[in-house]
Amino acid sequence: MSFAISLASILSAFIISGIIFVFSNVDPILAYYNLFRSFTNSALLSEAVVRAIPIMLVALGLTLAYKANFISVGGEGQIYVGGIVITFLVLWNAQNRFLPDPLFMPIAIIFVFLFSSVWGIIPALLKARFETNEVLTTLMMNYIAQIISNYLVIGPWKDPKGYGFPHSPPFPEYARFPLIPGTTINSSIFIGIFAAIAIYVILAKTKFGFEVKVVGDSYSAAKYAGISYSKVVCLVMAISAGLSGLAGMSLLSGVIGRLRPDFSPGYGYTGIIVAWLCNLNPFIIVLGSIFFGGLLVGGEVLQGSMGLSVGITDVFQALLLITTLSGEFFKRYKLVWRR
Amino acid sequence: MSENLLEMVDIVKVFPGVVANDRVNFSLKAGEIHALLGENGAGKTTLMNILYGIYKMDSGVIKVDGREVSIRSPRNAIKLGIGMVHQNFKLVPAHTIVENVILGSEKNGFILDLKKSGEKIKNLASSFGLMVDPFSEVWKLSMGERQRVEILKLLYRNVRIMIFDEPTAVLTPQEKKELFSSLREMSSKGKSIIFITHKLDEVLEISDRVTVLRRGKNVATKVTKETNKVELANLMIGRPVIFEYSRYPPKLSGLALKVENIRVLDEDGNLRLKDVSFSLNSGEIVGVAGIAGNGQRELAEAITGLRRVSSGKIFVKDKDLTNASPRRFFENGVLFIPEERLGVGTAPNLSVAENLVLKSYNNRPFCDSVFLNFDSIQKFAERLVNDFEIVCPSVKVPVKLLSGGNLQKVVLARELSSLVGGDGRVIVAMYPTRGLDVGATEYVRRLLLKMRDQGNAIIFFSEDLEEILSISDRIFVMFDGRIVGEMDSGKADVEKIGLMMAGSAVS
Repeated sequence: MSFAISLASILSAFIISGIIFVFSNVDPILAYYNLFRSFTNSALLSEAVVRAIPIMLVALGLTLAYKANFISVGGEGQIYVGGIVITFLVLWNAQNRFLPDPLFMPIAIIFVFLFSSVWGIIPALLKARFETNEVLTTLMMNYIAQIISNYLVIGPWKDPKGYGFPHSPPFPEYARFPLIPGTTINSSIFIGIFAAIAIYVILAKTKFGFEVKVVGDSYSAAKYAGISYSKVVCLVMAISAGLSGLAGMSLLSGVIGRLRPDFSPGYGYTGIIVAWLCNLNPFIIVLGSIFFGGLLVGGEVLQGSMGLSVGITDVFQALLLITTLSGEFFKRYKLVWRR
Repeated sequence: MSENLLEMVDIVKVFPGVVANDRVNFSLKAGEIHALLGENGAGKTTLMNILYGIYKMDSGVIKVDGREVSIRSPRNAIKLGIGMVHQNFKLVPAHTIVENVILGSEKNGFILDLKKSGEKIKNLASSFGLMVDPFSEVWKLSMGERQRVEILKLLYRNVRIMIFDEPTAVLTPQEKKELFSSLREMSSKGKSIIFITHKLDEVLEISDRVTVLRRGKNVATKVTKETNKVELANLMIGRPVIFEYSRYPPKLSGLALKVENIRVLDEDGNLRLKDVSFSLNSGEIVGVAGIAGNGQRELAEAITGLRRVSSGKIFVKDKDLTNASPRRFFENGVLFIPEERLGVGTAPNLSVAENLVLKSYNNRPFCDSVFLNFDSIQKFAERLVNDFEIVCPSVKVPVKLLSGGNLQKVVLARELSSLVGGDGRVIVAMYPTRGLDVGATEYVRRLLLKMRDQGNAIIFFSEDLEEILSISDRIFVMFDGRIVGEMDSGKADVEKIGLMMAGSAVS
């Protein structure tokens, strides 16, 4: 029953966006063929996986927060914080040479994680101390992080040899994630896979994961059981934001190669959709992220081959989320028709 | 044509597991103040929510002006001239009184004439002695003034039957006096008033007639002048049938818990415990009687570490644990069976096994420094399910799927089998048998007695006098944040307890 409902949800997303295709004077079958072409073509599939890495990292972090019933939407801002931290390390190291090249990336990963964690703990503390709404605080902090990042790249961190373009100097080779030979996929995919295993182990096997589940299920039961809400929520957000920060690093060190204004095309928000669609299951999230990465690539194919706006992927994603969430309702309740 | 403005005949309302109204009859005459008296859970509010269209009754007849009506929503009720002032006011704090009063009223056109409405409200207010400034914002008002706004909402809609759900609970004594004079004013101008309360003094002071409900049934309707406090207390509480539990006299073995002059505030800063002191010995069981909302919850939470005390001291076996964390209380052998089994006592979506280690997951053998040990948790859970006769398909099902009785057994099993604290524990139980069937109730009571015989100190809160009289060694009575009476259960006098519970101190 529950599987049938999931299937029906996905199907209705297809039908509704099909109607939108028809209204845009596009053959929906052809449009869907193009949208999913990345799954039949190895070059496009490799591109889909590249897009999937940051989505995956964000979604995995959010999963932990959502399990504690901490509704963070702060992935996007944490991506920018991660971007700021890695760029700072690159620029600083370029001047001081404080690290030998091979050690740079491992140390950078730790620093990016830690500083993004601090950023993530702020809304957790605000909620634990003052009961502020975490949806609002994390959302507002997204704008703050993005604007700081844009300021830095237009101002102090602008590449002096960049002909006035607003971007930082390019990252040196030692600050880049090497590619997996024969693909366009960079090695930060392994951070994503490691994170998936780690989140699964934390939730399923550890004392901390148990505390997260109790807090998420019932605040009062947690208090009664002597579990500290602020401790759990701060730790959860530290990990969640740390992973999103690594997503930002993976974008800059893995794909773009320098800090640019608005460098994340909303991966922090896509991560929210993926986390929920994959039912907060870490391993399904890995697959779901690749699916969404494919959709993003497919959207670009559509734009190129059929003249449709890239926005159509966003529409499809949003419809998928809406139909899935509505599907949850039908899984929980039964409709009874009465006269 | 009957002389009654309102008649409710054979009203039945069943909630899952409990009959809230069992063929209740109620009638109201024009211009009278009719008190609806009963303990918490007697079905007063349910009956009035049916009248106001919030609940749908399962069977029964409601007649207004002798004509049968069907009330499906509050809007319906207001059209029939029936209005309600709830215990928790339903006002928009940022708006002015006028805006609140006219909100939702069908008399408004598209464009609001606030000035005209304000005038009208002012006139209404002064004719009923409800002094307010129609243009001040609600958030600036005291509770008494907010209540007046609620009343004005009803008057503005020309309501004839006004229901007040425990209207004095939030008022100061002065505001209460003013409310009562407004009530008299309204009834003299032809409004009929239903006054829900569990306070005997108020019934005698304000009402013309009184209907008493007990456990969902109406036991009597009396003309107030022809009755008295003692009779009403007996009607309200009933003559309990006391089961005999074969038991030995308590073998006391030292002080287990000592509470000295504690004062506790609620979330809104109101003083809910006013200088409570008592001590509890190992090997005895103390029952606390009282109508819910008189500080029982605050007391139970204070002596288990869930609520801070603003002054006073709490000692557990000579150890000062004042304002210690819930976990420290637990580690010092204070076990708590809370009022809400689901959501506080257990995490609903976690499994039976997980809930059985909700407090001890942190101790060996259930975990090492990081990881949980599922084998030992599973074995432990299966043992408890067996020992405590918990009926569940497997220890892996979410605990929310269990019945009330089995849920309570999960909570009891976890608390009583806890591996920490050693002997001579303090067990704090809130309403341990509420909502349970006869078998489960019996089981829980015998378990508590067994724990007593093993040398634990037990304090339990109950609204059920029968239960308190049949299993406690000593009885406390709580009223208005104080322990107003204390007696040995052998010398207990039901009538006296009833009066104390209702707030009439007998010297």
